[in-house]
Amino acid sequence: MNAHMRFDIDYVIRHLPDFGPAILTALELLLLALAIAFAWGILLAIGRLSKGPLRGAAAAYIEFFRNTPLLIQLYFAFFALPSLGIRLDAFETGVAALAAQHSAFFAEIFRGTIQSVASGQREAGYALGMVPGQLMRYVVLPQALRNAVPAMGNQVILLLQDTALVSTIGVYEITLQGRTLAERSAASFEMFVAVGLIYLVLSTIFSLLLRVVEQGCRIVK
Amino acid sequence: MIRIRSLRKRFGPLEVLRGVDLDVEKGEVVVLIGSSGSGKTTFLRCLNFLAEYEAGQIHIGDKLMWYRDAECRKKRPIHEIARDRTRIGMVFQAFNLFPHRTVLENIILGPTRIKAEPLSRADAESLAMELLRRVGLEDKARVYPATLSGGQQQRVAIARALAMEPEVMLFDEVTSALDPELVGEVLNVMRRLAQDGMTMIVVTHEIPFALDVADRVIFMDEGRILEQGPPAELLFNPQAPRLREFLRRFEEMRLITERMSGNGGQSAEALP
Amino acid sequence: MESVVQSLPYLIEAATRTVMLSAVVIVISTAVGLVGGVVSVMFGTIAQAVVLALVYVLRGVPILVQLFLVYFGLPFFGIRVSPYVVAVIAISLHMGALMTEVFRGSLLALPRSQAEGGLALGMTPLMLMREVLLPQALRVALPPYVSLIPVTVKATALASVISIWELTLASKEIANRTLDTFEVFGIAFVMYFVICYPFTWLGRRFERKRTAYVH
Repeated sequence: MNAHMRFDIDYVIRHLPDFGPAILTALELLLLALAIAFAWGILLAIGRLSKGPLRGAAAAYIEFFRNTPLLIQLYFAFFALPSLGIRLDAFETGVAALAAQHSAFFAEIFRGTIQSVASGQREAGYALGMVPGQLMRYVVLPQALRNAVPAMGNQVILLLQDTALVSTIGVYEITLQGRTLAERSAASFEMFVAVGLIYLVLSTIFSLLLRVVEQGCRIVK
Repeated sequence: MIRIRSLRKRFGPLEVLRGVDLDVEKGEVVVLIGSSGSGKTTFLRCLNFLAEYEAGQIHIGDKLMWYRDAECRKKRPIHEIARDRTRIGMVFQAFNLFPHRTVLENIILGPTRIKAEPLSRADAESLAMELLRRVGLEDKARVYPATLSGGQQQRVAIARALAMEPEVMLFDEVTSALDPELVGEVLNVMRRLAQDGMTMIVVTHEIPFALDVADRVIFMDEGRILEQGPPAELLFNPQAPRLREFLRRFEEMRLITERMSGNGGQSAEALP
Repeated sequence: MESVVQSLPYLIEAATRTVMLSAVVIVISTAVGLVGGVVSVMFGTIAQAVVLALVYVLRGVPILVQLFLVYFGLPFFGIRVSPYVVAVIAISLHMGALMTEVFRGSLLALPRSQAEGGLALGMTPLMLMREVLLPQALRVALPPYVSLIPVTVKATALASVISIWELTLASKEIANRTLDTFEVFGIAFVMYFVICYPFTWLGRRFERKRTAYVH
């Protein structure tokens, strides 16, 4: 080992508290985007499975966002939307772009679990005198959402990772905080090891939490 | 009370119902028998419009059901169809209880959320408890359907349908998916329902039940009603060759299953 | 708008760079995934634990962070390479971890009797893997593998952050230069879509075929 390879752990430890606000920002990004993507994803899935003109619109939305990179969607929201008169700050832009993209993935998850609700369930609902809206609300969605929990858990972890991209439009979340601290010192590598560990710890915590949710949501069958 | 005229239904090139006429009186129990593919289940599903038919008329009371015109050109709006379905209770072969709701929640969903004049939750719950008592499951109100046996689930399904206070009940092979030892408890509930004066149309393979409970037995074959009459007459003195063949095959099947299961079986118990 | 038309060849060239970068990453990450998948099921619990731990780490850290880790990490160990190589290594490692899971999952999905049958014939484990297990596993792995291709293409957009010139960087450049942000990014979206969608479509088709076959 040469002197060059000294792992400067002191610098990292000294600046670890600086990550506190950054982690909070990342969590805010995550939770806000998650809430929007969840609700919007349900609507998209229902639209995608409907028979009207909404079907094509929902399909186009889903395919567009699934097949283009989040990074360029972020740039678009940040640089191009203002020319349409939509002005959002960097944080709001981040939430919007994350939600827009991930809602497409949530929609695909929900579409699958909505379709897999047994046809006998629908028949029983209709036979009781439900209209389609009631059937969706009381019979299909409660089952479809529960069955979606494992896949959603996976998607939440991906969403957490994607919050890193919001650093590119100047939101001080974990990655940008790491970059800033890295640039100020010679310990760039050490800094990013710390950043990586923070993400790893966060996604581990989320995985464990989601497993608890999964247990709670399981339908006894 | 129910009047059905020249009901026709096809699946693509296949004619499943080829002109069915039937009148059912209030309080009457009609049992439909026939081999699989005879159209009896489809017929039942047409009655509450789970299956759409292309020609014919169904009246319940004075109302022409499901279509606005006698030629079946214009369907009634979906909310009206839904409201009319509340007049008809249906029980399925596969129970179809909602797995994410407890037994009680399954039963009160209709009265509190679907009925045109919804009950309060408290009223719906006392109605549900009353119905659960009638099907002998008052201690199972708080459990989830998956924890119940098939026979218990089917009794809950009957209670759930009754909670809508329907004018007629449709039963679609409700014991076919059950283990033999659980068939009796479901048939007993149905028998009591018949005694209480419920109008019932029952598709079943339980010939002894038909003999015991039915006011009229109807034999369907290839999408038509081939023979009908009082149960003893029809079952003990069948006229149509197809019906004779059906009953003979049926008897053979019963003997085989009884020999295989090594006891008298559930069907024997239900004999008068 | 005129400037956009003029810059179209520039964007098309950038799109070919994106395709090339994706292709290189897919080749390397497929190799990584195959080795990872095979090692994790063929050797003992230690090899399995090591592979799974690596996969966990590589999956659990955002690609962007991995890019910086490699970018600063290689010089830290005295290795100097071009940013392009950094991007290839970082994205390939992340995608390799995802592919390891795909191949591992498909190998584990094979019935035990397949392996036992081969061993009973006197095959060595390596032969068994090559002649019997892998060919079958690859068929099982095909739908999720194809679905990872658009994921890879989208991941290459992140290389722009360390100044690799490809479609995302090029469109950002031109957008900033011409101020026709709407049109320029619009064209970039279409280009990415044209590259990705065929694989998304194919992956879903394979998936549907397989479920149709299983049920």
